[in-house]
Amino acid sequence: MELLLQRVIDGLSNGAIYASVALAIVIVYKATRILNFAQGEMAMFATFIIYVLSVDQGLPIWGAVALGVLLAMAAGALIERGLIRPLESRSDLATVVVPLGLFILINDLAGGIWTYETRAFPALFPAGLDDYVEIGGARLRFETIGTWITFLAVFGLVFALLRFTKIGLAFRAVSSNLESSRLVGIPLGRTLMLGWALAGGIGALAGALTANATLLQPNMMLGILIYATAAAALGGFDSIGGALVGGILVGLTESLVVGYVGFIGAELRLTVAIVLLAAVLVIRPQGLFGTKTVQRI
Amino acid sequence: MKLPLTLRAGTSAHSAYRVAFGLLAAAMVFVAPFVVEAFRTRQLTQGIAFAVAVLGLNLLTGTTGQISLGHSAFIGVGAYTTAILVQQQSWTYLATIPVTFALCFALGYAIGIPALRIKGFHLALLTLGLAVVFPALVKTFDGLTGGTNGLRVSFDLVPPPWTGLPVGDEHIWTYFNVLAVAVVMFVAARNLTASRVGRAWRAIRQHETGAAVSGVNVAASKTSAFGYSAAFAGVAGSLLVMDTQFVSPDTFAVLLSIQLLTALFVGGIGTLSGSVVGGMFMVFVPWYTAQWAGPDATIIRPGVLYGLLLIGVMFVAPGGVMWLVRKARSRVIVVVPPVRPASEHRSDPSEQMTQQS
Repeated sequence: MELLLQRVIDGLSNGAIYASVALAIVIVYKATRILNFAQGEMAMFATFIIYVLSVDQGLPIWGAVALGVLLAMAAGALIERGLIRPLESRSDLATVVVPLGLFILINDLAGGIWTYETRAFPALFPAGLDDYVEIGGARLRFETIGTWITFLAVFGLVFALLRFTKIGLAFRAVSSNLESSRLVGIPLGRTLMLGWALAGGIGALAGALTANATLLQPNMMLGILIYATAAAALGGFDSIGGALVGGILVGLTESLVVGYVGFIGAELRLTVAIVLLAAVLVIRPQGLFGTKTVQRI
Repeated sequence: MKLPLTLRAGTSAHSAYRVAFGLLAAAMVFVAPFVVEAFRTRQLTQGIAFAVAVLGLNLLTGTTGQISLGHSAFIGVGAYTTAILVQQQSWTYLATIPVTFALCFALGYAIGIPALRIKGFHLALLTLGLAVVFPALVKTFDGLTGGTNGLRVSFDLVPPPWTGLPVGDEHIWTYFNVLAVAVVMFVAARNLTASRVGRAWRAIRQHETGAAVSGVNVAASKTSAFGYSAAFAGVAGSLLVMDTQFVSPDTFAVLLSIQLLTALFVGGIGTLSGSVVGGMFMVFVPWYTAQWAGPDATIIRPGVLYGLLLIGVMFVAPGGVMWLVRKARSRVIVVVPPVRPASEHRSDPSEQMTQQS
């Protein structure tokens, strides 16, 4: 029972990170119908910038995070404007290929600048040996609680922004029907840039949470990206709430399957996410809460 | 003489031009290993092997318009199949190639089945998963594969006496072996794309519903495209092992798939010659980059260059290098269709797998 509880807690802990990257992926998808394969790498790069701001420049860690998130938002908006929007009218291939180009570019650039050595990230939350509460024998670490509070705060903010503000309304309109939005005079460019900026910022935060939970390294987001896309696919690529639910489900599934199915060792962890992803794409391509696409011929 | 020269397809002048061009290319390919250094020959050998892999991806992306990020895994399966059969079962290298082809075809076909319901980036996503899982699987089954340490193949390809090649020139014999297999694969690809199967693939790319209405079996065509594509990538893996005689799991990671994709787009999607350019690109561009900027350069790194080129090609030259080459060639020589009734007109299938859409 203790072990089960512990595994559930571990799963939830990872789930928050998966859900936050999934949220970034979903927002980009809603805005531009693109799966941004480079989302994880953009987050990783932003995390390195946060690291530099905090460790080399001596900023307090949360100050560095705030600045890093702002920079990542600017970068997200710039990428949308410079690389994605010109593709609008081009082939479907281009919208898959350009993010892949960004992926390999950012990954290798980070490797060149900061090398592939792992680094300890400054602690975001109290992370001493005694910083946990015990629930039924299982340990719930303050880090986990902090990760969840951070994620829920971001999720709440994004939800409120999209639900209650004018620009949020514009975003939802664009996401629902681009052509009609253009016709009723919604500033398309600004709205799409907002989507990519939001995703960039959320990604930076998710990167910081990841580095805080593991170690900072240029390849740290590769696996997370797979889990996060599995989460986004499970929840439905165009559902914000789906990202939350998908993230939790993927985190729990991973933790429980790896814990209870003996032959899946550390090496095959990712396979769980991939099997899940394949199952979703084959059985229910629109995910749990996504919109089923219908094509007019 | 006024440029461009005009050649009418089917005339003797056109045939002479093609034969001359073919002979020149063949002579260069034949003489190359004897005039360049051993390590250059080995680079060329690897370039040829990668060209087969790019060709495999071309069969999928160039004809059906689907993107796979899983081809690193198929190359890996091919490489490991050859390494294991040669090292542990004492097969000859060439004998493993049909096995590789069949195995990877079956694997690709099986993976193509879920891909049927999946469109756009979903296939890229699913195959990305495949690319990530492959090294993990290799490391898990270390009894067969040697795990993280990889697997060394200790048998050389020894040239038979009739070649007259002295001891120490194994690399030249390897070059010709790899070349021979590659030529077979290119001819096969050419015939495949010019056949009923290839026409069905192109129809699907242009309009899936339209193809179905015209009687194309969409499901069977898509899965067979994936199967052939994977089989070619697998053979490329076998060819790579003939040269490197060593396999290790992390060689066949996602990065390789993205490099393949870059090579495909830079070389020129949808053309056979573009695949050759792409294969050579994969070997020589990272090598010269490292030579020029040093292996530990901060910014000028192969990955950064791949990324920039991949994005740049999408914006500047969607047809890749071959598109530029053809544009340049059209200033010198233009081939016009024969004066025949329009119904007999056919484009040359060897060079024109698809039209860019």
